[in-house]
Amino acid sequence: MPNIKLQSSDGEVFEVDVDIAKCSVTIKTMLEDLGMDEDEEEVVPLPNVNSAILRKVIQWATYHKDDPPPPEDDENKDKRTDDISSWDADFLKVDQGTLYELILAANYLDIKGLLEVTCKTVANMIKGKTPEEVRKTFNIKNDFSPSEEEQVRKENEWCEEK
Amino acid sequence: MESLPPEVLLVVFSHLDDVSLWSAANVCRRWCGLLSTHVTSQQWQQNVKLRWPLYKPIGNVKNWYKVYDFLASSAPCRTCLAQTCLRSRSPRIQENSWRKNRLHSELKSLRIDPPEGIEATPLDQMCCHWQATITGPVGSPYEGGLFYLYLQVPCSYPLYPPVVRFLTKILHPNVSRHGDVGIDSIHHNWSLALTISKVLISVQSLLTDPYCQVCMEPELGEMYMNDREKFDEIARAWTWRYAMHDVVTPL
Repeated sequence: MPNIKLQSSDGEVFEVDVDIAKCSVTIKTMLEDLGMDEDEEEVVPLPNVNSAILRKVIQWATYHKDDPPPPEDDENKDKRTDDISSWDADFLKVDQGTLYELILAANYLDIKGLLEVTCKTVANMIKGKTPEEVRKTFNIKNDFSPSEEEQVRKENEWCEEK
Repeated sequence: MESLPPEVLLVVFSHLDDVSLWSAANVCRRWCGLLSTHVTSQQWQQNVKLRWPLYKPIGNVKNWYKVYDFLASSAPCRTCLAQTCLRSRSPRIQENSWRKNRLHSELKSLRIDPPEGIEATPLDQMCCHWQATITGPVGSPYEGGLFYLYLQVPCSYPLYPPVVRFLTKILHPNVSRHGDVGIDSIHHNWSLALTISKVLISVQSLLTDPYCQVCMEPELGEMYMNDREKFDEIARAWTWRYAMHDVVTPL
């Protein structure tokens, strides 16, 4: 198998099997557009991905290289999020910052499977929570005005009104 | 989280069920704006239909999210609300023919001759989960309100009573703040002669005559006994705020 060199934003070069690298639609298109010859000693720069994240992405792509292609988008995509494989679940046991960076990398590199599974992981962190709990989980500031906020106060009024 | 671009957030949101999606819309302006432009009114209409099959709009509804928001925020418990829609999951319970025949005839009479101000419909094939509505009795502080209830009919029905819970907030001595109904005929004096519709009728009459010797919310019972005026006023305010889905027409 021919290899290809990928360079992270901080300059580290990774040598990867071309087939594995091509699970990224961005890299695949780049190779086709540039007409890069596979035996050429060219390096593909990935200015949006640092080495730590790129290493994780390659690890993921290597494990999933034989996966069947993901099904096309359809209207009735089911909302299951409990179907994350145990390997992926372990792989995604990372801090929130890393998780977001992985999502951004998957989005930039256009790796559908990785984007799906990382987004599902975030969705699981939202499920079953109140807005306030969601804000706490993700450290989001509540920027609704007091009148918009009435909703929230409504929920606590039992004790006040009594 | 703020670093995630909208297209990525939308992928995240696409994995959420309706109750979580509704939560997400209330998290911050950015999420709210994103969801209001990407989740259509028709989708919310579908969600309303799924969660509140008994909801009937009077006018032409322009924004179904508002309807969903109104109904969902008037529910006492988010978790219970999320549980009310189990239609997709069909529980494979061993049903005895007694339960089956009994529920069959109950359903029939509910359809042909429903009691005044009461509606009920099963949510799943096995009739384990039901939704019902009760209109507030005339002359009570609940008058004009439409109250949603959730019923769980056990496999052992009619030997064992159904669980009854309000899905609309209501201020009443015999209804806990969580929506659970404390009613003698269900809890202690269940009899085989009772039916789902009879249970609902007794809940309805409980709205007119609270039973204050035993209360789910003792403080409310006390207020009802000692300061009826104040009780009525607050109970009426709650009815207006949470149970008038039809009068307070959503935009």
